[in-house]
Amino acid sequence: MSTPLGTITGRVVGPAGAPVAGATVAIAAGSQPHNDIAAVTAADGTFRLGGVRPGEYRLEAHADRATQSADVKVAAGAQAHVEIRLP
Amino acid sequence: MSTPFDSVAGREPLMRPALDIMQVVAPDDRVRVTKCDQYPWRCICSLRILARNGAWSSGTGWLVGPRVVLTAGQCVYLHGAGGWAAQVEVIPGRDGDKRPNGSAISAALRSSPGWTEQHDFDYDYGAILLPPDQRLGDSLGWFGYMPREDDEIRQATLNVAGYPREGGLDAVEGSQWFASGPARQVDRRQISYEISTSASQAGSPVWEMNANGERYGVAIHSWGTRLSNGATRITREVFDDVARWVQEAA
Repeated sequence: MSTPLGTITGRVVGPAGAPVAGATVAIAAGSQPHNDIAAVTAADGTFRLGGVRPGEYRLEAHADRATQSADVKVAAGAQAHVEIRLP
Repeated sequence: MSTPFDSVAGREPLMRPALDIMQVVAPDDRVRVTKCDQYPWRCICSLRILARNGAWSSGTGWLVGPRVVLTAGQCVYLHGAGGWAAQVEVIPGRDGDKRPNGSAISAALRSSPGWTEQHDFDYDYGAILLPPDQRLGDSLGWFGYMPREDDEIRQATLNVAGYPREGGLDAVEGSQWFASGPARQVDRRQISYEISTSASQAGSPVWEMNANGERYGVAIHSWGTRLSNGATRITREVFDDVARWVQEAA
């Protein structure tokens, strides 16, 4: 593939801002074909989705029946960061 | 739905339609699989993937031999996260918190250079070779797989089942969900469809069931877009790789 791929990193936090471990985060929709794999947040709430084609995406985080989405734009070869606060 | 599932040729007979409350690609017609201890559902595996950078991911795979779980390349070789996974836990027929068929952990992973070196979705397939003392397929069985002609795929009802990351419409983590429908487009190395799937279903089997009730995997679910979802087709080249891995782990 000729276009450098990007990475989405981020953190999932709860309503009070505390990190949420074990949440799943994935691309729910996007302007480009995207992997259908889901990241699972670490103890500090961080996650990483690699190998993302440049484009605009909607991420969804899910934990304990709480779901929240966030939009992110990924540039070629770049790393985009997003924080998702669950309700 | 007005049509009973078991009256549609080639579609797996399931009992309970899901509520149409969530938009995935088309209106979501996924059905939760409740008989995860029965064939073929017990051959579909929830994957817990540990990347070399310490990050965890989840995906889906399916038994194609006593010790081989076929999946997407992205589930065994993670671009942007250290390459080959450090390990993958395979949980066949997982049903929420229940593991009716046990589980196995493996670091023996296989994929295609087209995926590992080129990151080409046309080659997004791979396999997990289970440890020699974890021959889960001996008791659970496995799926057949075969390359099919374009017209055969266009005329078939495609079945897809896996483990969506949000737990499907019931939001039960680790639950297995099924949907089916026709192909939207058939290309040389890809099949796209409007069958509802979501993240964590990468690696799910895309299979057809013929009039004799025989099931054959024809593709490996891989990707999604706003308009459709898609899979890596089991071409002759993919078939030969998978057959070699099965032989390696005989």
